[in-house]
Amino acid sequence: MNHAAQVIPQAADYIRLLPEIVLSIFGMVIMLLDPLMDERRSQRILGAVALAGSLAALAATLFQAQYPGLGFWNMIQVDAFSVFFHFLVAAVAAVVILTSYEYMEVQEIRAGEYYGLILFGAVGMSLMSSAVELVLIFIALEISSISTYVLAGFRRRAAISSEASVKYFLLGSFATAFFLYGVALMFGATGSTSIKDIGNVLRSGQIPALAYVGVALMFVGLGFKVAAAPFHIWTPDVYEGAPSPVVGFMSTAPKAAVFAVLLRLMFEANAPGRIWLIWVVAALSMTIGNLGALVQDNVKRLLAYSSIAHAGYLLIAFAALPNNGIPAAMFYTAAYAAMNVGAFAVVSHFASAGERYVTLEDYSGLGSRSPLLAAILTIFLLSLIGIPITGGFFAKFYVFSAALQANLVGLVIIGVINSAVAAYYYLRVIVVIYMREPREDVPVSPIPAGLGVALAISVVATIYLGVLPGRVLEYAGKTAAEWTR
Amino acid sequence: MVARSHVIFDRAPSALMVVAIIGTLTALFAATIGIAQTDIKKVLAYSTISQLGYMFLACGVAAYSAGIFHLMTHAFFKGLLFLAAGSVIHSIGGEQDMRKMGGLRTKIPWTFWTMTAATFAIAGIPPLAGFFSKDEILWQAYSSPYGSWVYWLIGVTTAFITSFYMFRLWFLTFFGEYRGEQEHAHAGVSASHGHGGIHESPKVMLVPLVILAVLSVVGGWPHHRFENFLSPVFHAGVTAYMPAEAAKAIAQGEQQTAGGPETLLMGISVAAALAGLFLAWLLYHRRPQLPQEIAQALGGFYQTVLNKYYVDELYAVLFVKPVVDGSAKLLWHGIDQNLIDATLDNSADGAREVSDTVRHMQSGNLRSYAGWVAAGAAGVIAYMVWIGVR
Amino acid sequence: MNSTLDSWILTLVTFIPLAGGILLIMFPRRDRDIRLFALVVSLLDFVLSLHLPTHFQHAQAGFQYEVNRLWIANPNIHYHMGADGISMWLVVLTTFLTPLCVLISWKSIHERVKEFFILLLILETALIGVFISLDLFLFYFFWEATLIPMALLIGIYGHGRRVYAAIKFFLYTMIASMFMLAAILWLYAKTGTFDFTAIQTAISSGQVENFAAAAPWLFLGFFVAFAVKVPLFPFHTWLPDAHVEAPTAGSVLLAGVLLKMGTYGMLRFNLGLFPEQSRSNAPWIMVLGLIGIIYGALVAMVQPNMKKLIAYSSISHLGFVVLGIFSFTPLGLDGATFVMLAHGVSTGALFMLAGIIYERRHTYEISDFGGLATPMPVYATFFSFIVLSSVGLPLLNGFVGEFLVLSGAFRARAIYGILGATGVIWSACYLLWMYQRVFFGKVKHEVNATLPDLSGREQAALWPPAVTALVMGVVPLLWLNAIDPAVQSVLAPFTQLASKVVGR
Repeated sequence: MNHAAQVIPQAADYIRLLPEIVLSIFGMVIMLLDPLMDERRSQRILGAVALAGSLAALAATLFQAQYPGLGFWNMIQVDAFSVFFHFLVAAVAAVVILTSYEYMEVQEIRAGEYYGLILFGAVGMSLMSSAVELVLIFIALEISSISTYVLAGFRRRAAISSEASVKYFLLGSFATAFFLYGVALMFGATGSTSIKDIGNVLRSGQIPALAYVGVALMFVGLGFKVAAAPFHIWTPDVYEGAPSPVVGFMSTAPKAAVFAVLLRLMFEANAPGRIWLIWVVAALSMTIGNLGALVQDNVKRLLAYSSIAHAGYLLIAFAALPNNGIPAAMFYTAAYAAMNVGAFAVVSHFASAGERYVTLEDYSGLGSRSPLLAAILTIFLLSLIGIPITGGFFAKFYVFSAALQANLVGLVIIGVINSAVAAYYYLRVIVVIYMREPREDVPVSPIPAGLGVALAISVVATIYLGVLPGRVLEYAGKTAAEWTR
Repeated sequence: MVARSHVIFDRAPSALMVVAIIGTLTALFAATIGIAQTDIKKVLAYSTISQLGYMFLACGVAAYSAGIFHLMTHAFFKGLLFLAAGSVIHSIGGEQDMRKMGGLRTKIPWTFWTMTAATFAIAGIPPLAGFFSKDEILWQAYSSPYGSWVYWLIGVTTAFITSFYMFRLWFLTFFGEYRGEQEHAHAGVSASHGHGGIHESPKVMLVPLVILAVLSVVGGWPHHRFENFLSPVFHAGVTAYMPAEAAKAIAQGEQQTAGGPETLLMGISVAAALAGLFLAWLLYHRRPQLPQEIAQALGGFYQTVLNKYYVDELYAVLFVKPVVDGSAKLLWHGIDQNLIDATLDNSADGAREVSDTVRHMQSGNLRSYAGWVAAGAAGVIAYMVWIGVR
Repeated sequence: MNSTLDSWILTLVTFIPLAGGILLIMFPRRDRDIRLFALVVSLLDFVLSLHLPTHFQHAQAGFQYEVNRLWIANPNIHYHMGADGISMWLVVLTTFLTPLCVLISWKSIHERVKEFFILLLILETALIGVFISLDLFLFYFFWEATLIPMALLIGIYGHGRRVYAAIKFFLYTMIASMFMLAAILWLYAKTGTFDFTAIQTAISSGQVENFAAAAPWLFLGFFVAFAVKVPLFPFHTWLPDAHVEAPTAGSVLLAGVLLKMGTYGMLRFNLGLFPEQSRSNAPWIMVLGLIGIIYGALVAMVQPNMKKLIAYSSISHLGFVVLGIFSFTPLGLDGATFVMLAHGVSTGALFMLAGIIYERRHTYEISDFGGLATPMPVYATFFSFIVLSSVGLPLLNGFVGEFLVLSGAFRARAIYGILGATGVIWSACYLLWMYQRVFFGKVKHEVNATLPDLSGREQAALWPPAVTALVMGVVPLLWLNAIDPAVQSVLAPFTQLASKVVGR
């Protein structure tokens, strides 16, 4: 390992770690404040602190963007890529926190750790995107995972939530073990845990067989996290059981972060043998995800299967060439984050106390009872289908374009057919919302301020990415340029 | 239209023959139907078809101007016949069945006299219009290079039948006792006007009748001038495609006035018309019980003619029913619903079943999940090892 | 002055309905105001669109009123719009039918009126956009954008089986257009641009690598999407359901405009980008068109439901269009375009007429009617006029189009023209039989005897198509003057092809 003579981190290093530091501080403040505060008022204040924390992290990211480069003995790299993901994670965290305000009150969950865990989870996710050293990636991965394991079980009074948490924890640890073993093998194969060095070795022509196995194992671990088939098996149960805002968080931010890791691994480290592997995994994910969703009645499970399918679409970009595959993948994570976190925000609001109303039937006639909520949900659903004017359309479009330019016609055909088939189950929801008689026994409460802001941000992001995707894509393109130099 | 496109027909003698045959048969066929009909307008309708057959016959023997001439005279007397029939029907309050008419000649004299003119004209009795045009056609049917005595014979027979059924109509409607309901005679049934009794139609209906009656009488007189008027249109084309001697014969024939054979045939056709008049007088004026007896004697044949040879029913069975049933059962239900739509619905069902299978992979059992992960991992590792070692 | 308007006119005509729809969102729920506003917006759009034919340069080839702005740099997507003689008239058809739709839905939509008109206006924008997009991406964008409003219109405001019909419509057309997306993406990957004219030039000058191998698939990709939209046999089964269950305005726009998207696409993209494949595939496509004509007519004949009958008649009429397009003759293509316009007017009016009687009796079953001419003579007259125009009576618009198509088809292959001509007979059969069963004879059911005749508003909706049908039939040159040059330029590569290939 190559490191500088000094052993003490410099100011520059701290700047490169700034968002994580900010988030950690705020998280710790919350943990400290929580026992000191009166239970009834603690929710609001702690939530506000958490929100402030995520906004501060955003600001820190923007600040940090002016100081690109390596830090902490070449373990952290700040570049356009990491800034992109930092921004994404912080934004998603903010939206989830806003959604959680009302949710916590309705569900009568009184624990400040919730907000703390969100921020800690965000630390891990942000770190994953800027870490360029495998062990650090593992640490960040674990920070993010453990936070989400606990968050998943936060509805303590519902057995299904605890079940979700335990399942996630056990299977997640199992998968992370694979990853760690893969890291070890990689070290053995290339003599380094730094992504850059590994990349140099793997580009030099002579690829040791051990490297292949190392990549395979790491891929298993990471594939689990992004819910790619055949490692997707935990997703429906966990998404169904966990609290809805947490699902919104889990399905977007850590996924984005892990995809960032995968991007670094696949492209910057030039992992070998990846194209056909990804081809198969992508095709499987799309197919299994879409087929599984076709007959779902539970909205959360439906969205879980949908996220498996979307992981598949995203992975297509990984099989393409770097200069369009990377921006396409990044754009997809952003667009997907916007639409999914918004969808789950709506689900959180509608589910009511004890998350009673999560089946499709409960949504009947929402269009006439609460037109605004219905319209917002429809926008997200349309984005998930991939209808023009929404971010989801351009996301799929870029991914398919990238694949076609790499001559992966078969994969694109599979993707296209899957998109068409998937339209059915999203359409079912739209049909139920607008074309069925409303159910009077399901309460529809007005949208509170926090949720309103969260939804507004998601909608604006979705439509912005659908109408003016150019700038975001350009920014993402910078990354590709840097890596392929 | 046939006359207008005569340039095409002139070059296709076989097509001309087809036209002539169809025209002749139509004339005969429709005339026979007209004999048995009881509705006054139906008689006139089948009469129209029959006269159109004559026009087609004329065109079929390349006597286009004769055909057009008959078209013109026919317009006069047939138009008059229909209008007059309407006047009759109006006067007796909406009744169209001739069996319920009779003895109207004293009650609606104007209608009677104009209709008489038309009836005599259509029968072909000189010197009214129909005589000239029908006679010209019959002569051309015999003498034209495309003609034949068969055409002429059937044409004359038809003329006899035409005369018969027209005078039958004349007698039934205007002569004898009034056979309608008594109220028609006295109180007046028609809802549209309250005044009673059988009455002549108002002037607005009678004036056209008179005009047409005059035309029916004098309309045939300028027949030579008519022929000369139209000959530039038809002549060159017609003679250009005929065999040379025939063309010469026509050219010669035009110099002559009516020769021997023509006068003879003219006489025969007039005789036929008069014979029809006589027969109608006999059956419908003198011995009115005879028609009934004849009808019964003829039995089935009479029924067939009365029902218009069941042509409509035949069409329904041959054409309408197969098309409608075939479309409904084979095309609509068979292909559209049971083949195409069913394929769609079945594939949708198929997708649902596959989806159910996928769904059941989620057993809820943690160890099976771990098993899946391990299996997937094994697959990935195996693949990568295989590539790496290659 | 004129030239600035010229470059803005297409944008205005396309987006004014959308702007109107967005404004409607802010409206309070006063139904009368909403309807009036929608009417005003759609009429305004129609008047604006009239600028297009009145200032059209007949002598100038290519696209006019062009506007080309960069929208997204990477990938290379431009906001490129332009109209030639064919697309211009299709746009005018759309703007012509929409105010009529508003009028005809005045009373029949009484719940969630605001959403209805918003959807209608958004649909109008998407439809116009399809016809004038010259950038493949933009075209696909507008194409997909028509799906949701139409599906919602059918599914929310339709009749009994509306949900089934809406989903069927949506999925059927969407799955088919996915193949078109794949083809578009392939072309982009190889040429680096989405611009229609640029791609056309690249293909014809042989600059697209691997084109010969991929061309059949590309052709099919585009073709499948369009064939489902037309709808061409055997992809037609979504249409009867969609039409029967849709609300009247939905049916009018569906039949009047949406179906033309398919035939327009074939003309513009299949013929424009892939002339050789069009020629080699023409035989079986024409056969499918012929089957559509005859099959559609025969099945229409036995329909007990009036709207389904009209739906199958649309399949039959659009078979003529396909026949004309793939005959590759100027007459055939002129006729095909003319039939598109004529059918839009006549069948749109037919659906309006069906909607009028539905408003009174809430049924479309022919057996529920009978003898309607007695209580509703004005209605009967309009109906007979439109029926005759649909049948193809000379002096009315249907005749001109069908005659031209049959001339072209006959030239391509005599048997096609002959078989196609029988379609005219069949259409007379089913339409006139329907008319007789509905209007002539005695009033069959008591309840029909007291039905009110057309109101002023309904007449206002019916006079324009009736007059247009007559004018189109008597002076078709007014339309053909612009259509013919466009057709000639579409056919230009084919005459070159014919001289390259010996025989056929």
